[in-house]
This record gives sequence, C-alpha cells and structure tokens, in this order.
Amino acid sequence: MSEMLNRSTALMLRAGIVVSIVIMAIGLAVQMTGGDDTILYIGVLILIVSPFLGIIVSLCALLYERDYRWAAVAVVLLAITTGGILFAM
Amino acid sequence: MDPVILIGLLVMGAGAGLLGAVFGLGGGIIYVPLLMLLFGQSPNEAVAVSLIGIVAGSVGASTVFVDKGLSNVRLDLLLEITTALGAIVGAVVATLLEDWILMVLFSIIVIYSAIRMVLNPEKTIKPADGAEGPFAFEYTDPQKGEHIEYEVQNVKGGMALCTAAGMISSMTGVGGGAIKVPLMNIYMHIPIKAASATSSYMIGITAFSGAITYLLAGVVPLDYAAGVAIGAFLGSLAGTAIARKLNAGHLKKYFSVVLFAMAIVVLLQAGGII
Repeated sequence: MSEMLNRSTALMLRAGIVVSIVIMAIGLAVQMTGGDDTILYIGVLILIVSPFLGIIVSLCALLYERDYRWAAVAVVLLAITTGGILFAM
Repeated sequence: MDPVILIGLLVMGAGAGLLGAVFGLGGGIIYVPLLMLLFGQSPNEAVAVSLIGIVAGSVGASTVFVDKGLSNVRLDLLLEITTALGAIVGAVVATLLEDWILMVLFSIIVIYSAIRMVLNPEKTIKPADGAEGPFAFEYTDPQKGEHIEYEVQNVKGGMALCTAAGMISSMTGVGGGAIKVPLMNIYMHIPIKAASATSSYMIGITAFSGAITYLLAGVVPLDYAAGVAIGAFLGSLAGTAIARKLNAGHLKKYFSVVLFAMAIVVLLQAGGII
C-alpha cells in the first residue's frame, strides 16, 4: 500500500529541491560577480513551489491508485492552500 | 553579497536544517532572531527568508522521509487542511491580540507538551488483525529494521487541535512542529519517528503559502534566501541520516529538551529581553 504514492511524491520533491539548489547556486555566483538576480529569483521560486507540486503529484498518485477518499482530501487541501494565498494577497 | 555573510548564512541554514529534520521542526525560532540580530534584516525580511529556509529544510528531509514511508503523506494532506485553515484565521486574529499574550500561551503549551513527552511512554495502537481501516498505517523503522503498524487515534480531535496549532503558529511565527509533533505523538498515538517525519513535510506546505506571498510581494532578499536555503538543504540531509539512527525513546527525550529551550527563548522574547 502507498508505495506508488510515496515514491512519486518523494521524486517530485527531490526534483524540485535539486533543480532549485543548482539554479540558486548559479544565481548566487552570477549576482556576486555583478550580474542581476533573475536566475536567483527563478531558483527561489522553484524551491518554494516544490511542496505545492508535491501535493499535486500525491493527488495524481492517489487517483491512479483509485484511492478516491484520500484524493478528495488532497483536492480540499489544494483548494484551501490556493484560497489562503489569494486571501493573503 | 560578501562571502563571509554567505558562509554565515550557509552555517545557520545547515544548523537549523539539521535540527529541523531530526525533530520535525521548521527552524523559524532559530532563523528569525539570528537574521535580525546578526545579519541586520528587517523583521519582514527575516520572516520571508526564514520561511524559505523552512521550505528548503522540509523538502530536503521529505525527499528521504516520504520515500521511506516514515512521513505519512495521507495524514500530511488531512492534518494540513485544518492547520492551513487555522493559519488563515490566526493571521486575522493576530491583529487583535497583544504579541506577549500569544507568546506566553505558546510557551505554556510547549512546556506542557515537553512534560507529557517525558512522562508518557510511547503508546501506539496496533490495528486489529486483517482490519484495513482508513487510519491504519505502517512503516519500517530504519534503526532496528522493525516493521511497525499503527492505527491513528482521535482523528477528529487531532484535526480540530491542528486548527489551533495553525492559528498559534501563524500568530506567533513559530511553533508549527513544536505543537504538532507532541499532538500527533501523545494524542493521536502516532509513533514519534512517524510523527516527526510527517511534521517535517507538513511544515514545508505551511511555509510555502507564506513564502510565495512574500516572494510575489517582492520583499524577499533573494541572495540571503538562497544562502539559507542551500545550507538548510545540506543540513536536512545530515539530519535525516541522524534521525534514522536514533532510537525512538532517545528521540522523545531530546525532543522535550528542545521544547523547553524553545519555551525559554519565546518567553525571553515576550519579556523583551531578546
């Protein structure tokens, strides 16, 4: 049970953190040598959205496993998280 | 940015990321005061950088904890719903209450949790044989290679208390994990290792909402955020290695020491001493 859910969610998080850390490191080097911080911004953005992308991947995995009860939980969480951000802005 | 500052940020991030991964905490209590006192950031900038450090530590730790099944993704999703709702309500209520009242309230809860964690032995409920209830879960403890089954208790009460935890942490800016780990362990009877690993992931989801708001508002010092995030990621990987070797009883004892320390720091802040 849950093998696929855990594997796919962890894979998404791993991809997010590795890509963002590499881009942030490049961005820091660029900025410290006098460049602008566009690359840095992209790296930070990818890092921040990783947990949110993790929830979306979990939702897909739960749908694939036909675990509709928990998939509904994921949908509610996505809705509340998105609503919270819109509320804060 | 000065290389010395970068090294400082990396070290701070690594320390907080390591502690965060071992105990399922975010590290806001370390980041915010240090960023303000040592690195001269404004309170707003410090909170923004702290949230990004928390996301990095959480995601770093979760790559391991989720993959190994220590972090319970289903519970993450469920408990995060009420935590997020609480955080939204908390953001509104915080404007009506004095800061020191919230901080004292937080300290009382944390000290109570610390005492309970020392006194209460680990108690998990094994699911009845063959029962496939929605709240029966399992994982393999990497320290002993032992297969552990547990059935989560008091789910509704736990969800309700997570609302309170979300409120208090969004009002005080600290304490997502400090409140939720004892809550999951003592009240919902989730084994301490699963509770802290589950909290590790939840914290990142909670911090995501705040961090993205700050980023879109353009108030994040990006170089500071990147320095802290890289440090926190490296620290979190070291933390997961330590967490896997620790035995559950020791983890609970160390956790209560960390809780007492957090309560003292927050009380000192409430009294205006730091």
